[in-house]
Amino acid sequence: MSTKEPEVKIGFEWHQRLKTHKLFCDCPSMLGLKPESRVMRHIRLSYSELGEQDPAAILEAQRARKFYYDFNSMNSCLVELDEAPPHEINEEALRIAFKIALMFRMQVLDEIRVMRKVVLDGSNTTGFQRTALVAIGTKESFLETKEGNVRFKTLCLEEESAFIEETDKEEATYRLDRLGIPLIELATEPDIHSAKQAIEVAEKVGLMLRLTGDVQRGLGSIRQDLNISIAGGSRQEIKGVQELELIPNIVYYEIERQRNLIKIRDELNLRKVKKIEFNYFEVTNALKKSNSKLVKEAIARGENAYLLPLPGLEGLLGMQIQPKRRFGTELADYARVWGGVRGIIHSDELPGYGITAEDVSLIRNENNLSKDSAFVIVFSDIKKAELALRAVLNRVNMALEGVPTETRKANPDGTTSYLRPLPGAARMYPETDLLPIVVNKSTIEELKMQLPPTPEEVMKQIMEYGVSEQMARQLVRSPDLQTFYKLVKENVDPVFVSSVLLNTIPSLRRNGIKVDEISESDLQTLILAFSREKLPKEAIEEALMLLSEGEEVSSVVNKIKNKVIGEEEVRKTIQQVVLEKKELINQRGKDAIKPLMGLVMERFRGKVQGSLVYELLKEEIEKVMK
Amino acid sequence: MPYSKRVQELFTKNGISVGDMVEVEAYGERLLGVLLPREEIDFGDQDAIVIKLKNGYNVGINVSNISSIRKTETHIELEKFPKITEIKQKPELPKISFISTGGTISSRIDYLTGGVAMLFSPEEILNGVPELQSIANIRKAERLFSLASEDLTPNEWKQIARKVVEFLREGDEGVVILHGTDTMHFTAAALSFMIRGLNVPVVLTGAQRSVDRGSRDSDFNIISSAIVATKFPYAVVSIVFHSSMNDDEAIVIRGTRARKMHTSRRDAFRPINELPIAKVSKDGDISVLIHNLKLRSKDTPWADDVFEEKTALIKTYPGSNPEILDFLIDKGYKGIVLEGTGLGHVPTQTLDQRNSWLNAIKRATDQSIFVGITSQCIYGRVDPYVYRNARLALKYGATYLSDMTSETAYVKLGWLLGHSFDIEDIKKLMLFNFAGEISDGDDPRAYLY
Repeated sequence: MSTKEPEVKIGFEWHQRLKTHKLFCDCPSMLGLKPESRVMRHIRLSYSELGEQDPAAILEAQRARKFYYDFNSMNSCLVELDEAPPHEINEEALRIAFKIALMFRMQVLDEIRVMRKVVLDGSNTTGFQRTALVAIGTKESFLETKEGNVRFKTLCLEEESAFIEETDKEEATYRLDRLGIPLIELATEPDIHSAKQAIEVAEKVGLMLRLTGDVQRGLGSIRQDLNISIAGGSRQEIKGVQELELIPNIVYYEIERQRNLIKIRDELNLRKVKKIEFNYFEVTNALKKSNSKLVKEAIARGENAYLLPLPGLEGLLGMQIQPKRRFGTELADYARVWGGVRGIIHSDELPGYGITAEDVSLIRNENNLSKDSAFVIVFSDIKKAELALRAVLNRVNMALEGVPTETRKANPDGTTSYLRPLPGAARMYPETDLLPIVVNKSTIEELKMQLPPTPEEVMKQIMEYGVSEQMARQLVRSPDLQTFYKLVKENVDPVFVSSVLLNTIPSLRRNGIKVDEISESDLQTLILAFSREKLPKEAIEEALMLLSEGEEVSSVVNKIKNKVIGEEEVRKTIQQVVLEKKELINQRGKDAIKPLMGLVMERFRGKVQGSLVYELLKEEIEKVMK
Repeated sequence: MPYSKRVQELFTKNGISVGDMVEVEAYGERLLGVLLPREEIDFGDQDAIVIKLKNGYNVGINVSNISSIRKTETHIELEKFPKITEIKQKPELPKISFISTGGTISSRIDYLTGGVAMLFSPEEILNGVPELQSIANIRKAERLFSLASEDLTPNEWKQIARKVVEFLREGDEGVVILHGTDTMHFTAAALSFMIRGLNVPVVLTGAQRSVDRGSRDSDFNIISSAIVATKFPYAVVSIVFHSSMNDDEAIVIRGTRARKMHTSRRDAFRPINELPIAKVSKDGDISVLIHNLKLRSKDTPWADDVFEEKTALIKTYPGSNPEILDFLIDKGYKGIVLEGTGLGHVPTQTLDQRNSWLNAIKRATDQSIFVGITSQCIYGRVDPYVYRNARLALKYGATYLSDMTSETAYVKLGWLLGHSFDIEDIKKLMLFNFAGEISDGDDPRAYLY
């Protein structure tokens, strides 16, 4: 499938957590502690900038939801609880943001002003996210790619949102440990023209960010969004692109979606469909006679059926716009998001769901629906039904114009679903509790001297430790590069470290061992212990497995130690083997060490250092040869 | 800080003023945005031009990095707020009125500059809380002042008292006062004394979070206050505020018993030496905890709005200098509340006689200046008999003020002195319970409630 589409423009956006304490208080950026308390809050609609209310804001406020916040006082204070004003901005995080901006040759602004970005989904206890524009792109700030330069646009420093634990229509539960962790938001101009180029950019930037050594690693510590616009269509913000491999599908399917939506618009214009006025009917009675299980269950739940006629749309709701997604699916997204209903049934799916052709014609006749009219049915109470159907109608009316600008969510197959309208600039206003930050010129000059090394420089460095070029190339790209450096500085054998990081861990991962649950510091402690205690390297695999099951490092190390066999016992075994294989030694002399080594190691698998076996074996062979 | 002369000259030269859409050329880039004013006290770089970029971010660019600046489009209006609809009359619901005096609850943010100004009109506040429409018939909403509560004086207390009485005489079944939180408990105490013949509930409430944010506490406080104003069976002045950090329960605190106990939490107001008089659930149910209050009545209220300005509240502490009392005596003060330590002790037997307050107290009482003693323990009752220090102060004419809070004692003293009673009457009246400010027993549940 070719994704090289001349008319597509892609911009990339990264959200990368930094490795420092929280941005506006002194709590540690520590995840995973069990919450000990909870508060309940409501988030209310805000007046926003210039007095206009933000569409995304109105959307959230339509649902008067209860928000529960679980917290542990070890990593959350009154700031996270929105019970105290923010502390001054975390200087270290600010310096890291400067460093990253300078690494991409961006221009750090002279005076930085923290803003409040309105967020009403409960993910921030305040109802807004604190964010500051730190640097902007200039002609100097670009990334070279095989398909041309990609310019950097902006770099912001902002606070991470709270982690969502559970959500439903009425309430949501968040955990506050993640709230306030510093993250940078780095965005490019829409200079990317193909999925391949997008992947190249993502890989390069991800690598450079890691090489700073100042960013968090591990699941969720980096999130990527794509901005895609298509000539004749419109701009879409696609959130939550976890896997880079998904990018080609996302781009391809988005082009397909926008093209199909344009086709629908043209068809609507051809049919002379004009803006449809809101009007709906209750059709519970007409459906009561139906044998449909779906209908019977809904009625049993006490729900009613409401129908929205869509004159002129017959046949269009079933039109496929992305794999397994029809125009009706887009309408269902709107109904779910705005009305909180389970979904919709539309006329192009009928007869279906046990609703027969007779049921359909009864509905059509009773409500005087014309032949060219499509319709949408929802099952719910009247309040939600009205919100849902109004949203569906809004979406249909937007289809008359073409492709609406939206924030969408990436699905695992690369298709996307509607999340919310694209937020306007109206959602941003100044954080009144903080002073502007005047950037010191000398700080910038000083940081320019401390820029992180380029990938090439890092490779050279690694190879100087005696690591092979191939491994060095892999190490540069490894999220564990900092672990490598730390351990090598502690005099751990570089080859051993890189082999654990590049071979052992990935192989365990492939076998379903949850190695990613091992914290960076536990991993380092373990490898260091292996080196200092001269534990058999072969046992590292078992140690990692124990560690991934949640065992303490010290206990893992003790377990391995207890298994290690003393030198005397090893020598006895070796002497026995040498005696058994005396003939082999006579034949091959010193060269016999290779096959014998294998034999001995097999008996001791993981319980003895290979180097020790080698030394003893050499001695014993020599004794025999004399 | 406001813009420097250098920047202002640049603006004049290019015919630019704050609020213009400008194109700034800096760092070799063209930046488009709205030119913003600089805050008066932001400690920033006066040489930096602040603009709001199209993406919504405000940034400052030092004038030395700007190669050109020019006006592009027409002047855009800096602030525009939603059109306020008129307050709808709902004759079937109880009539109440709102009075706004300022404070966080009445302040709004200038969304462009970030400046906080106290400008909100009561109508705007009420329009932000649509729930009120089903609770009360809002008869009037009037802005009396736009003052932070730390800027209020007894003169404003008098005006508020008169306004409340005016509304009550016009037939309101309750009044809600929107007020800054810092000194709300002083105003609550003042109204408790100044409004005589109170016939319905009077509620003060405010906000600990600014009203621009989605997490504001004001809406819940206003809703709960309106419920108390309309449904509470007792005619009492109270503060209604969050009960905890949750948005699910408010407490009703007697006006003479409230104190702001936290700088920033939304449950900052706590009752001192008493339980809350009631709780209000998020569903609007009131559960009364203290029953022996005056019921709503047909009494005609009136404003007994006097206050002696020469009343002071001061604190003793290790090393405190009693000359401060001498100063007040010399300045003609008529009454002083001394916030002592522990059971109401003031330094009397210090090693260095100059630190003893005894002579100054004696000097005051000899001149018929009232000296009352409360405790900076905040909780509990003062007692002059347990330790010698207190006995001495008592002997020299100080009056021990039972379990009144220091703030309430100060307000009560000023109010009594305003009536020109003689000193012996003042001494008796200070210990007479007018508005629940003194209790007979000490409820063990009331500590750190």
